[in-house]
Amino acid sequence: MILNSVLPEASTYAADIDRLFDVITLLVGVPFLIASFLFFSFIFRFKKREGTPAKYITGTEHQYMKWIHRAHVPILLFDVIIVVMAVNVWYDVKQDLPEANSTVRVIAQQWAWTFVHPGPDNVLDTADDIVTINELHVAKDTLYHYKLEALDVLHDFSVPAFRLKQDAIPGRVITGWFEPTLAGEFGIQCAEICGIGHGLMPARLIVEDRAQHAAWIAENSPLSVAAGVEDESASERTRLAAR
Amino acid sequence: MLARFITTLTTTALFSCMATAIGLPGLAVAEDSGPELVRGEQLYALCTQCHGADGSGNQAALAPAIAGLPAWYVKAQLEKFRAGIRGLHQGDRGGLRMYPMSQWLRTEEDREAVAAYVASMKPTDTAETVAHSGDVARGQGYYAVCSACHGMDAGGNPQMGAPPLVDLNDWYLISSIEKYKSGIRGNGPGDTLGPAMIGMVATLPDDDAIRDVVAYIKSLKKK
Repeated sequence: MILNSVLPEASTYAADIDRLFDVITLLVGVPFLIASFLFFSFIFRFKKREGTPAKYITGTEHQYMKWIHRAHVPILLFDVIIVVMAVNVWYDVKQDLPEANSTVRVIAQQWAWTFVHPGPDNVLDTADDIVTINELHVAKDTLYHYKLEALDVLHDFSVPAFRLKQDAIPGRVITGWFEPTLAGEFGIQCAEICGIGHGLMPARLIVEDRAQHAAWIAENSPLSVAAGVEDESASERTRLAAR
Repeated sequence: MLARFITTLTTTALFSCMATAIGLPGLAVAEDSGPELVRGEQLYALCTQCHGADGSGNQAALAPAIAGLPAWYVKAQLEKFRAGIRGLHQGDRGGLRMYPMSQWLRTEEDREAVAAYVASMKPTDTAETVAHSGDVARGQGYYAVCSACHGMDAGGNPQMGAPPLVDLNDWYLISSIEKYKSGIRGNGPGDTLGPAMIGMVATLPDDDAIRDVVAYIKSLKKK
């Protein structure tokens, strides 16, 4: 309701996170507005007036304390609602790892992102992998695992449209998942201060439909490119031989 | 009177401390420097994070010594980094740092100013780090190919787009040659000089040859 009015929900769990955000905003925001209204209206209503002497109260009597005690009930109730919802969303996003259709490697370093996409064989770390700098290509409605690494210092792989944010820690390979639901071009950013170039470490996320993504894979796989070069060489040889 | 003096003194001291703390440039520029050098020093404050205030470099940050490099070469490299012709390869960790940093220099005037400032810096002593194991005599033989562009004294040749090599760090020379050999550098789209370097370094058959030629280049500085 609030977030998706300014940022599209482009992953399966984005709506769950937005719902949690809305609930927290309402449960905390509405009481905050009520308390602020009472606070400032009391300041105005009980301001200094001629002929009205100030009176010191300790605030320990029941008639005063009940306003604090009664407020505890909704606070505790709201806390329970927030914690239960947050744990459920956290479990789905961070602790549950659904089976993937594909896996990409995400490597953070000062101050660039390297993305390794599996090639036509859909297996990572093989000869047909496609490596890109600052540009991640994924297919819509496809569940991905990401293997997140950092080469130097702490970084954070942040994809606001996916509502995805994950620290990258040197020496560790962190596995997570996402499933794009919306085709388009979205931003990727580093969300952990990582040095003077931190602010200049953006990347693009390109979500394509499956056919377009398959075509991109076929076109950019190193083996296809090499074959293309060979084809061109063969054509050139043929052309020269024909002269 | 005394109060005014103390106020002035305090303000001056505070301003100096703040300027030092935030790296406010321009205060240390020689009075006879032209406006381009003043601007260059202001912009160079960003580069000091890795290359150092004196341009002596920092191997840990993958930043070579650049003090005294000719302005035309520095500007050309900044243009290449900025356009993604150099540095945008997953194996080029230093280059990937330079790509975003070069985006800060948004106008040609700024790039020229930084290049002029770097060129105005006194070359620092680039101590040997790894090249000691190279054989200078063998390196001289290998260097014959390089001398066609970089000159017999490795002093560079602007007409050929070849920078001077003698003041570069040995680790940087080795790393650059290795990058050319593996295609990490020199293969960028629109890199007119890179392919020539890839061809030239192919004459160095192995790691020993690379160290030999670097040892020879560094020996030229001592002559």
